[in-house]
Amino acid sequence: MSEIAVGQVRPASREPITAASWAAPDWRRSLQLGLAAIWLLDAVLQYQSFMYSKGFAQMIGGTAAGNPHVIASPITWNANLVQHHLVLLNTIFATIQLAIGIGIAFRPTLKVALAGSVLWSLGVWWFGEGLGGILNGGASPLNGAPGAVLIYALIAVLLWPADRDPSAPFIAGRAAGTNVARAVWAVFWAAQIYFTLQSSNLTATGLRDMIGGMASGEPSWLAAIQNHVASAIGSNGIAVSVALAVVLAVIAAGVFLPARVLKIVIIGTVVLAALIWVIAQAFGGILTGGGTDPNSGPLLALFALLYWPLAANRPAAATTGE
Amino acid sequence: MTGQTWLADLLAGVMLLTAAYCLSRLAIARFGKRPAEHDVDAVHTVMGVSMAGMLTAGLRFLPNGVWAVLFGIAGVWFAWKVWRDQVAARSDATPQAARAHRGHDVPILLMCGAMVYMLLAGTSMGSGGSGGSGGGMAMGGSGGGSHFTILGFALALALFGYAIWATDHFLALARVSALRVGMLAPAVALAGVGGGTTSATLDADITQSGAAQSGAAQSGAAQSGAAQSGGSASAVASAAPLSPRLAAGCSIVMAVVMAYMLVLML
Repeated sequence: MSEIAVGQVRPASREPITAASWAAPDWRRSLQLGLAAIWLLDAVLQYQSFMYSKGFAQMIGGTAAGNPHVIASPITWNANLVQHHLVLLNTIFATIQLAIGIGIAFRPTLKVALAGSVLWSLGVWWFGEGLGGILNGGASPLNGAPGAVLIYALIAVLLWPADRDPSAPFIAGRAAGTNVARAVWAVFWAAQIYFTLQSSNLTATGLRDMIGGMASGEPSWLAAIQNHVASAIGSNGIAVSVALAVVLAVIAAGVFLPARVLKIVIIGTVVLAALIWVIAQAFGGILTGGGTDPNSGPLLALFALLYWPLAANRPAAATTGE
Repeated sequence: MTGQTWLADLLAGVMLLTAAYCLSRLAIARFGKRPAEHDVDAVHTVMGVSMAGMLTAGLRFLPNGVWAVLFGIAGVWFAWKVWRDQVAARSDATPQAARAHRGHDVPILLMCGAMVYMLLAGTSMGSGGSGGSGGGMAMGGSGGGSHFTILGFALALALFGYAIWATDHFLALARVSALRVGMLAPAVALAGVGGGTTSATLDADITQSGAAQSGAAQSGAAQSGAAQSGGSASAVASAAPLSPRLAAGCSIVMAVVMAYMLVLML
């Protein structure tokens, strides 16, 4: 790619971005690009053949199970609609996701794409994911609760290019305000604790069965890892769930701790997200050719990085779309 | 697994168009004496044709092995360039702008690697379809054996990352018209002028603003300098580099399509 870069001037507020005013990405912009990359991956997964089969419609319809009628009914309607117009609708779905990904990466369309990301995510969360299973008792941080797509929306809001609190100690506080961002973090991880300690997840062998069940259809090396972990958990599912809840509690409290401790908590959160993504979620089933999205692992990591402590004297860095 | 026939055909068409454009860049650069990255444009041309053949059976005219050798050679070439730039960047004598060039060829090297992977992983795309709803893009599933699926996945992620990065940097690339103006301006910055400076008048200053400068930029600026010292303005203007933005667009499209093909192989 030919690259002739011109200029490093901070763009004047609301002026169109030009070659002369282009600024190198700051931390917030880098995180926005991370979100864009995940959307792009999501879009390409949506173009897979499986999504053009009846299996996709059945998968959507399956998320209605266990939900209240008022929630389940629109899901069933959507599943039927998709089944009857599979090629058209799936192509539209995939193209919307592609547009969101590219739109976030292309600076002049950042705000539109982030807003679209929030709206689309909320729609998919209901009509495509059955609210992530939070109402049917099947939600767990290990299987993507509260719905991977909801985390897209949350991240998009926190990465909105506004500076309501320019001196916020982390990026998540810049747009929403430090206190609001801290509350979002605490509530999010408290919800994860709740899901972890739901009765459906507090069974002796439930965790083993869930992880072992994910190994089906995965490459042999990944299936071996999952089977090994599943057998190691064995019938100690309750103990492991409680231990996970304790870890999640530490994470939830981390945002209120000093920056040095918060850094350690964030690193731990990213590591936990990676472990969940690989072992419990099997990369969202991508390697089986039937994954509709990468599941929540990468999004949990990205969400955590929004709270990485910034240097105290860090100036309000140049970013886009303001 | 298989891809959708209509989608494969559509993407094959896009790849052929991209290849044709890159070929036209080579021709314009040759006959118009316009600075360009000949090696990148040449590889993009071949890559576009090869990818179209992988997507659609009717467009295949060479065995996978031949293509793999071609992209292997190209990969070695770009690997050498990356290494050379790394070594040069460590030298104190190297101008700051030239240091910024470090890593510039990594994306095309990555693409060459992805092509070799796909070709060697037993892809039989376009071989008439092996069932499912697809007929145009039949991939050998679990490309190259399940042990290597993670490599294909990693390559796809890297290509997604590159596509997003390049899209973000798109507006950092100067328009050709701006480059022409800059080359005629008295304050034109030649290759070697420090990278942190700014030019709001698009004076073709080559910066290190995250994006590396191109060989085209270097040669363009060098020609500019030569022309300034004794040449005519029109000659300078005609020697403006070919559009960096269009070249970036080609790279982005190719990266996304290639990542899609890699995902289908998982």
